[in-house]
Amino acid sequence: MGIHIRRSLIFLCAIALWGGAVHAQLKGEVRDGALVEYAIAVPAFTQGGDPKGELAKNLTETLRRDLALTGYFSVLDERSFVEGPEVAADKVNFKNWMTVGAKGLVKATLTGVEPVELEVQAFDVAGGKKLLHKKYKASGKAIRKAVHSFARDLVQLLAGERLKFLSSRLAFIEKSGRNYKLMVADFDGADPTAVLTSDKILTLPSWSADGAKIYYTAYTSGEPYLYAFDLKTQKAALISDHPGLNTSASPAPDGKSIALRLSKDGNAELYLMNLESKALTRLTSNLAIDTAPSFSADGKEIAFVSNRSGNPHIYRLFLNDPARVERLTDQGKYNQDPDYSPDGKYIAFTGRDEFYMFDIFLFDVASRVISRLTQKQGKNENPSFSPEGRLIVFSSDRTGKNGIWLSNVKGDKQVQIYTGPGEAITPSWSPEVPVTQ
Amino acid sequence: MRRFTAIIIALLAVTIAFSGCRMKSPEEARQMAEKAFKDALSGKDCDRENFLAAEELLNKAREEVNKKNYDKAEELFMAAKKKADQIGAFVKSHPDLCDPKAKKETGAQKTAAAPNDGFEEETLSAKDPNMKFPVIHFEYNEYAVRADDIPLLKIMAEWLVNFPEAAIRIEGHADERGSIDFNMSLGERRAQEVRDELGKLGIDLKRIRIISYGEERPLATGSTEEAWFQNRRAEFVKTN
Repeated sequence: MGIHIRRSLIFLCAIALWGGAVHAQLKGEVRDGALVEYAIAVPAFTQGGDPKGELAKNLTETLRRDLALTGYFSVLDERSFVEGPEVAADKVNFKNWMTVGAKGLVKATLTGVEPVELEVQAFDVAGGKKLLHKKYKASGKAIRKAVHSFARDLVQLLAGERLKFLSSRLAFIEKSGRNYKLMVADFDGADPTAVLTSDKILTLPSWSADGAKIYYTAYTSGEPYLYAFDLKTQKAALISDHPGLNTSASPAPDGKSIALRLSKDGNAELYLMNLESKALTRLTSNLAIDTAPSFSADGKEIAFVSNRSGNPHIYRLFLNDPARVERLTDQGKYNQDPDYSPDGKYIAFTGRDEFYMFDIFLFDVASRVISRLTQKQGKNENPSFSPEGRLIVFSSDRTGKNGIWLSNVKGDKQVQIYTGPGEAITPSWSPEVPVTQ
Repeated sequence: MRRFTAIIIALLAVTIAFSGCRMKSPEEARQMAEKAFKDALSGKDCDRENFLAAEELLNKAREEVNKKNYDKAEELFMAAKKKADQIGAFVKSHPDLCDPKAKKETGAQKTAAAPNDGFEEETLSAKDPNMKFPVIHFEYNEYAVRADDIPLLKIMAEWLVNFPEAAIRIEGHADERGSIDFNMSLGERRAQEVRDELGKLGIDLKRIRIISYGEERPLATGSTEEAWFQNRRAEFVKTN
């Protein structure tokens, strides 16, 4: 197995120049559960007065996409703008922005190279007031992270909510024939990097509780053993090598143990493994297949798949009483890959519908109502929640090839964020990771 | 406001106009689906999964007709037709599996004409130390060994009796449908079932290791019934 090591030297410094008074302006905009989006204009960033540079364009797109993904904003189409991007932030005529229906305006300029300095300012158009003013200095890829943190801070300021996904990453497998890559990319698909490549099977990646490692199963030894790849040291460590399958790690929120699927006793069962002592506690015990565990955020429950009723369905077990198992789905005949939302309200899963198509569904734990996120757009599988639960990542072959897609929990906004030379599958969303990691 | 109302009225008019020229019932789709289903009846036992699926879709479509949900019914009828067509294609490509008469004939023919075909029981010799091992196939989402494949297992057991020093690995596989995670278990259960059947035939289980490759190692490419059938399998590999 070859290991690719790619690390970017990151130097990132952010100076908050102006925090403004916190106006919870976006919070009151939710009516009857429907969000009234805050219209924001993001004219092109300029670099030395030029809005056409590669980096300036790239960062403009990054911020526009970030703001759209938050679900709080509608990002206005620049073709409607009447004021050019070259107008300096202190020369802005707010009437020009009121005309195009903007409530908010973001102006950004770039200066220098390696490190680049990025100055971003957000304004309340109606009041002509500055809301947020930040300066960042960064080298290489870190400048994109600065844009993400600006988006995160703007939402924090306007809505009082910290959107963790804006500093998070994705892990997934990209498969080309018998070539496997364990991929890591930013949540928006940027900077995709193969952290491991192998001609042996690599499968089912999932993040450790602290976001520093990725658990995955590899057939490197010939057997399906569970490993943890440390992103800092770029080294893989063997976690579980029992006879049979060692797969599907889901970390307990405290990071001290993982739930996993082992078949050492002859049949796929769920176990809890203490990561320090490697001691195992068996959680399920029956003749059916039990697999795909997903811890609830409070650490008290595990959602999983079992075919104990004949077909695979979603169940949950309670760790204080593992004998207590509750079946959650009774619609359909083939429900798999559950992922518990960080707020404990939903379990996302892959279900097969009456047309034998695989799609993403959401189970509302309180009401037990199932809603559907994808339909008639190819095969959609392996949902994984963003760290605050606002978005879901999944794989879809709707373009004819498996790529990585994001959806909001309503399912009405979906965007492909990665497609590569191979089939990109089994995405897993990291917890919030520090910007400098 | 008045303009807005005008638009709504125009939209309503268009909707009504369109619904007026819709089919009164999805009769055409029903006829097509029922004909395809009738044609596919010979696949009832050999492509059971699709047969049950087509039957279920047909029944659902009829229910929707009763509920006067014609759009939904039409959609279901077309889905049923698609399934039935797939059965037809499967029957065509598996004459030996689907027609008991053809099975005997092709079996005999193959013994005579193609002794190296490998997978027909008649061509396997358990006395041959280099016998090409048979491949065991499975129904969709099932891991029980099919009655059709029991003779293949008996030959395999006979071979293991004839060569008592040999150790084998059984590799279980799944087709591409369903989750990668669940399919790992499905492949494992298939390998286990085959191992257990060999155990029942008197083979010491210590000689047999099993492994699952889930859906990662397909034999046939493509998303067709044919390819899926080829890929739902357990293979034997000599390990010493």
